[in-house]
Amino acid sequence: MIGKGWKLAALFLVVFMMGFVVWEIRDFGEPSGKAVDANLDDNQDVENGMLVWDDETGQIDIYDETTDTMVQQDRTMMDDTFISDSVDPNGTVNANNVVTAIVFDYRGFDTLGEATVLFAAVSGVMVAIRVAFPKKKEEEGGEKE
Amino acid sequence: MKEMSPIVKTITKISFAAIFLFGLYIILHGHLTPGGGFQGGAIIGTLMALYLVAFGAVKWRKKVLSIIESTGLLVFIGTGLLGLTTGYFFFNFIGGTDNPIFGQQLNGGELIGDVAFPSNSAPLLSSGTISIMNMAVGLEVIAALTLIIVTMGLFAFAGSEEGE
Repeated sequence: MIGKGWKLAALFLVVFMMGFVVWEIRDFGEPSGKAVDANLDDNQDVENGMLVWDDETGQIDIYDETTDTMVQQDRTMMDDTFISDSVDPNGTVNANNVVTAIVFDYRGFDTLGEATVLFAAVSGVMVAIRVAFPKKKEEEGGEKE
Repeated sequence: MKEMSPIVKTITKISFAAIFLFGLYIILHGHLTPGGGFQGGAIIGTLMALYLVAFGAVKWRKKVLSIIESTGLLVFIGTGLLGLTTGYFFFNFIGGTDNPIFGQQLNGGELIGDVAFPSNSAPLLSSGTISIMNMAVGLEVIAALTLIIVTMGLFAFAGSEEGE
């Protein structure tokens, strides 16, 4: 009974922490509008714009309300956000390298999962070898220090 | 497991330091150049496999390797958790704070002609937690791959292994 209680408490704790994290980062997915303001070379600035999905190119175009035209972007808004946030000296990511920013910051959980998988693989190998050779354990190098 | 011929052993001795330094370079410059903790750790793990093949099963300190591996993973998770104090999980709370260790300012890239060169032009001790996590992952991968190779090598040659 006590063991079940502890398991239930641990489950509730984990669920609570995950919910807390989701609640904390809930507005991360909202569009920041940074790409529209970005002063990058081949992207045209639009004063009063609205984002429209372009079926042909598969990118997000900007509908310019003042001139009633569609402005095609060479890079999507997500590209611009990643590039400017990663390389910005005063940004929150501070990676100086977009790939590093993706691997260790935006996709940090992915790297954490990979490290955990490696850890689990090593643990599995050690357990399997110890089960296969229970008596020769002392003879294997380094076990006794 | 028997040792290999003197040719292999000499070549291994000569190239050991060079390969080890290259792996360390890949790990330490992981936030600036292509590569990172996984890749550099794989290089050094492969070097350990070469050492095992050339010199046979010498005494490996498997307990020390286990401790290094666990330390790497714990440092990685701990760095991510410390970000919760000022922001969210994996928040880079050191980067860009003018801290001389891992907090030096990036220069934001420079324009040479028409082409921007944003990467590979920053101080080594920059990028905050990203550098720390790179090194932690590198340590973990080195220890993990070495441990797998050593354990499976001892398993394969358990009959003739003398442990030196």
